Amino acid sequence: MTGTHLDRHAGSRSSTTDPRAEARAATGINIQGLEKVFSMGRRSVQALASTNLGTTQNSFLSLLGPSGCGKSTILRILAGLETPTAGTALINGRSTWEIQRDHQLGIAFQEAALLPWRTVASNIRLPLEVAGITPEPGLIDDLVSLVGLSGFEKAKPGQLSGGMRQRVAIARCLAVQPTVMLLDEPFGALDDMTRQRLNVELLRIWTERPATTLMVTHGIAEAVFLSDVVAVMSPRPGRIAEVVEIDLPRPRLPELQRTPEFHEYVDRLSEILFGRGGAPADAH
Amino acid sequence: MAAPAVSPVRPAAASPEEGGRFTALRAVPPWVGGIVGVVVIVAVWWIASLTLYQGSGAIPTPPSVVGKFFDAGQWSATLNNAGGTVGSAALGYLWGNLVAIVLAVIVLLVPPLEALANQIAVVSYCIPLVAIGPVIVIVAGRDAPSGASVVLAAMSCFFTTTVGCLLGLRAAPRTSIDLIRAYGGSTWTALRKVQLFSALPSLFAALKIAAPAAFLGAILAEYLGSGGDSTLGRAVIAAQSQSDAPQLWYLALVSGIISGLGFVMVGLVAKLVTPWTTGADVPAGAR
Ligand SMILES: Nc1ncnc2c1ncn2[C@@H]1O[C@H](COP(=O)(O)OP(=O)(O)OP(=O)(O)O)[C@@H](O)[C@H]1O
Ligand SMILES: [Mg+2]
Repeated sequence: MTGTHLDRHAGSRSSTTDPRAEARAATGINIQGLEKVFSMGRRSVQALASTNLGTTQNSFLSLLGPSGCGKSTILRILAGLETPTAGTALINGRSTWEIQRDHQLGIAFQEAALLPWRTVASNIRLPLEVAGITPEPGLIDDLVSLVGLSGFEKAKPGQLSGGMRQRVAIARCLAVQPTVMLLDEPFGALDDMTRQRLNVELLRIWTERPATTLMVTHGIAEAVFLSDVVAVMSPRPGRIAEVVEIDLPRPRLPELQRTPEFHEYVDRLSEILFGRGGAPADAH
Repeated sequence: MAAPAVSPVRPAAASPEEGGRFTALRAVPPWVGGIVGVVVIVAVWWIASLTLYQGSGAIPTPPSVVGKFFDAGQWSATLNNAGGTVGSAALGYLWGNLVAIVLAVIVLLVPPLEALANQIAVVSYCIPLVAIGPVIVIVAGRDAPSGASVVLAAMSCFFTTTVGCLLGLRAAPRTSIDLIRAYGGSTWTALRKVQLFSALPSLFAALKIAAPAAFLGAILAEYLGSGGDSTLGRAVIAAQSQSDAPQLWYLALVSGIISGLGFVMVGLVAKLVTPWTTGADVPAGAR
């Protein structure tokens, strides 16, 4: 499950095979020549320069990079929230449109974005309502207990802590039983301890229910801990600067974070991000 | 575009010498605000009636006015009059707000219409009702005796509700809408699942202000000649022509009370309909 495919040079792709067939064969996330220019009136911002990136199906990919380098933009294009200026983005060999049509996409943002007038259970049910699917009996209860919120089904978001709200957001992301998960700094607004705990839980859930996953994060250690592949982006205009395969055994337990191998990866990524000797501000 | 003032009007701060007497009133829960306001006015009024204009009797003493509230004959006439006015005001309130809400939703779905909608709302707000009232009274004429009352009541609430509703619809967090779209929902789905709900607090704030406004619009139209014979506006004209100061004061009080009641009632409905804005209602995890 941890094998990856990466191509950082658009021109170097094999010219003998049909590109379409090749795209379908390379499962997982497959981004080719992706560009995005935002234009606001006469000014325009190039958020993404020609970006290429590929992973295998059901692998966990993290995007690291300085603020404003286009991480969210990639995720939003994959989620169908922005249209690319150029290039293609496929997941599991299918377009975003096809994935949305088949209700296989789960998404979570930095803000839990829960609807305050709905209960926990009803918030988790939202994607199913939008998709017009009647949930199988017990599904919502299962999800609630999966994220450790049993007993809070009827609570309103206003009665939950930040960490609990983010758990609801993760449960909601899983409601459609997605084969694709897009997570934009899902625990970015939480304190370190809660974040650490939720990462361990996210890993457990992801292991139980494999899905092709893209997570945007600022945490180097959490990227190493969770991912099969970490892609580091360079500042604007965003490009993939380097891709690091995290060849650590699974299942991964919290103890892994105290091993030298783990720290080697963290150091290497810090070096790519901040340069030699630069102190990583938000590594932990 | 001016945002409507949304906070309920609290009783005016008392002057220094009266301060001690009225400080206790500040502890009263806000929903009595309308009624308390009336009480404060009565107290000030009593002092004024005993000190000012005693010769002309322009300010009657409170007992001469309050006495009317206990006069059975007076009551049935007032109830009859108020019924007519409240009926027109309610109908106008309904139509004015309905049109305002529909307009706000259309603008949200078809953004290019915003400039036009803004113009309509602002024009309806800027034309003084006293100036346009007589025109509408003539147009409504004899066929629809209370038509002008309804129209003026509707016009009075139209602007605040349009603005309040639009602000509310726009107040929806972007991520919530992104979420709906990422799950394949349309603009219409986002409107139904997110924006209509998140608009409610702001909409109700506007509807609260619109209630007294609609009542004022209806009474004004009646004063300008609209409506049947049994309306509060007509009663004011009658009392005025007879220079019946106590009766005028009595009618002003009745109008104030009805107006305040409308405000308070919409506020109560708002609390029922949008409990999430007032915080926790069920203890977390209680089952
Ligand atoms: N809707 C938009 N309109 C205009 N510019 C935008 C828009 N969205 C993003 N941008 C610009 O695109 C660039 C990349 O933004 P993006 O949100 O992808 O960054 P990011 O890597 O997610 O940053 P952060 O780590 O701070 O979340 C930024 O310079 C931003 O200003
Ligand atoms: Mg971002």
